[in-house]
Amino acid sequence: MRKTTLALSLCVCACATAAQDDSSTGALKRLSLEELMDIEVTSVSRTAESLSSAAAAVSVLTNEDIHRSGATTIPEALRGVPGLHVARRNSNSWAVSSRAFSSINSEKLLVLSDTRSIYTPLFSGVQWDVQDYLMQDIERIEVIRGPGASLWGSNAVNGVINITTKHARNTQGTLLSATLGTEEGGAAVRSGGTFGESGFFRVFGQYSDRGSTFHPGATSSDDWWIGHAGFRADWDASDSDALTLQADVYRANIGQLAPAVTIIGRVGPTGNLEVEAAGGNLLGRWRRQLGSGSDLQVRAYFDTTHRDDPSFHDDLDTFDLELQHRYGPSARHEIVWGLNYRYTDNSNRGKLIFAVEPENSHDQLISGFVQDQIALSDVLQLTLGTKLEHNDFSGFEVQPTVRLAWDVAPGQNAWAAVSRAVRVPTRLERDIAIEFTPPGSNPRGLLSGNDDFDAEELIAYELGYRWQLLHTLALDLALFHNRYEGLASLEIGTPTLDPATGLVTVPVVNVNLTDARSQGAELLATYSPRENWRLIASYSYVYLDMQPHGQDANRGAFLEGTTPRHQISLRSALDLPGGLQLDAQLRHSTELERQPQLEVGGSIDAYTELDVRLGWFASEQLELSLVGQNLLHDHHVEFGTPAARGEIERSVYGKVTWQF
Amino acid sequence: MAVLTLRRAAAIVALLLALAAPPGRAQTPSAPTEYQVKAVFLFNFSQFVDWPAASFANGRSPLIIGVLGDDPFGATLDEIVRGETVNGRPLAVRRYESIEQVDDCHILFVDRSQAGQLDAVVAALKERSVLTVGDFEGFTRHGGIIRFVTVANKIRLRVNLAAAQQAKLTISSKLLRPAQIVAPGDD
Repeated sequence: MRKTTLALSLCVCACATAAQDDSSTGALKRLSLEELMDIEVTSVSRTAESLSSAAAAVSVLTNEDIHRSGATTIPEALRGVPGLHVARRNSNSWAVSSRAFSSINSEKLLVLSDTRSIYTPLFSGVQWDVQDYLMQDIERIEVIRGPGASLWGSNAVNGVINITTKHARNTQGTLLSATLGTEEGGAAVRSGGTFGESGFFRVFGQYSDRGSTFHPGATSSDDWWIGHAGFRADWDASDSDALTLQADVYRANIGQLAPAVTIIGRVGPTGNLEVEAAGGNLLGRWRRQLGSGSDLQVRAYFDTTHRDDPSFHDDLDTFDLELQHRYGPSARHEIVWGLNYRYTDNSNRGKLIFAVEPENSHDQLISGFVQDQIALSDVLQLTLGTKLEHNDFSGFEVQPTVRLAWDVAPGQNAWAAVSRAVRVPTRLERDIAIEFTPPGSNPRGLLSGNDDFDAEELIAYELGYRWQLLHTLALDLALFHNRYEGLASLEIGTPTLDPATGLVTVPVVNVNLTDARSQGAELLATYSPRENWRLIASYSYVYLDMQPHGQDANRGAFLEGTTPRHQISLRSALDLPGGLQLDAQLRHSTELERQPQLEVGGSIDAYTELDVRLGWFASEQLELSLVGQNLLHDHHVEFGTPAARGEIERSVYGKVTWQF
Repeated sequence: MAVLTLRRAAAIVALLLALAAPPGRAQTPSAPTEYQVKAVFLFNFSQFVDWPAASFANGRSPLIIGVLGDDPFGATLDEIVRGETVNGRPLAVRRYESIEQVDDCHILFVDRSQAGQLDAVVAALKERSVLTVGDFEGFTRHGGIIRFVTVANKIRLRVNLAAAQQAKLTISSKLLRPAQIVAPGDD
């Protein structure tokens, strides 16, 4: 589990969610001893009290939620989480963003997989096409909207997504599954076992093949496949030591509708465009219980990714080492502190029009954080924390937070927070070197990196309220107001003259010249009218106002319109007799006024879509399911420029899962 | 067009919902109380502790969780163990007003109302394989085996291993790992 008391509180939320699934003691019985110890109780009054006391806007998707959604990828599973915007651009590309700024490189959202960052420093964002999971092995996905930077570090500006896979103890035996449908097919195998007295492991492999989207005029196809294998071992080395070792390797072939980079007037890659991607990672974690309420954790990972894109060849190696210590110096305080070191070795060789200078770059990031959770009284909890980091892109960054949680009454909890977070410049913003005028032109136009481009800064003000209104009805409301300063703005710089050749170069660079404000509201309502039936409704509102103070040649103002102003989702999970499950999710997104970097014709219509899943547990070992996705239209558009997007088609797939 | 689509979707959802099963028992998803959580811990202890075979009359006789003194659990404990088994044995709950009444018990929760009699309780259970559990000051120091301690509103476990060994109980490392082992004479 990732950092600190906030993470602990998140776990408490997960438990709270679990506890709401049915009779609360039944849900409690399914928790491990460690999870039981994470539950907050009142020792004085001996009465019930709300568990959801995290002073942050948090949603947790449990394994059950993910399973019942029928989603086969992480972005699809995230649909319906309040405050998030998930839009599929084509078969293998998604815009996933939190609290506005939707784009394919959702650079202000940090994503971690078992504490390993899957945020790429090249574009800043997540290459969702190579984030493959056996969905059955995901323990939970925590989504924290708003800044999480004081704990998780830079780029957690508008949110953090934490994907946690299951302990190997919970994936014993053998699992075989096969999927076949109109848009996708695949197979997975997983086998779990034990070693020694208290060691558990699993090994798995999965292959998925997905079809192209609807794009009649395309000269290239966006169909793709990915193969993925891995293992995880968990070993309780002693009464107080727990060790985890896990690894993944993958290989993928990802069809592209359009090149990653196009420049009007320059010839880019043409024909059948494919990305060949491969990568792997190895992660080790040692956790030692030092005593009651105190533990020490050391975690290291190595991650390597290779991407042979029609526009560039990119190799990235990352080594990351982290130490974290949690302890309670007194009954009122719980302190977590940690240190982190990350080394990245990147090589990017441009093809045709694309170029990064220098091609090779070694960058380091050193950071430390400390957080104190202070019980001011029985009902008031104050959290003070800050992260201090030094990176090779923007130097020193301080990212503090102040959070206050108030247990207003049993079942009612209010919280407020003020935080600062930064988005660190990407390698492209620092090192890009693309000639955008035809070769030999004078003057020559050069899109170039800017060493002086600084981090983008956010001050966020947040308020939240959670209310268990009835035994069957719970509400969770979050409000925010964000002020951004120094967002990227593309500016035409001062031309330079080379006296020897007479060549005039006009540089175009990113400068921190745009400010912005956003505000929004996110509401989640969970209603269980019957023991076998849950309804989950979410509503998200967001308004973004960008104020460019420079020429803003490319970006700023357009991002205002890339996130739907309103989103509504209604999910129903119904258990029927005979081991049947019927699930449905209806979602509505209002119009997108703009697309990033598209000056005309950028609007995308509002849409409503429906996914339905019918699952049948034929026996304890065998599960059959039939899933229909995007059932209301033959095809519809969700995101992206016309050249790069495909229309998402209605699809159906069947799945057989056999566990023994 | 958008309105039409919405209406179509609503009709489909209404159809789906119409398939709903007959109403079940009303749900109570309220947050757990301190003693609900402690009751679940007691149930878990039955899974993670080994008793000598001699402490059971036969292979099918129940594993008994006893509550000594005032009962802080109410019906919760009974609800939790209902229908559960450990190694094929059913679980049962018994309540005792005094230590003299304690018979074939395997896990004994000693309520704080019995704090004054703790030494007598420990003396009476000597030579018997009973896992004693309590949540008051001095419990493990005076020979109790597992104490619940509430730290920052979370329940922690403290285990007196010497007392467990004396009672011939084997506690699984799964239970010991998240617990704190107390030194003899400590609390």
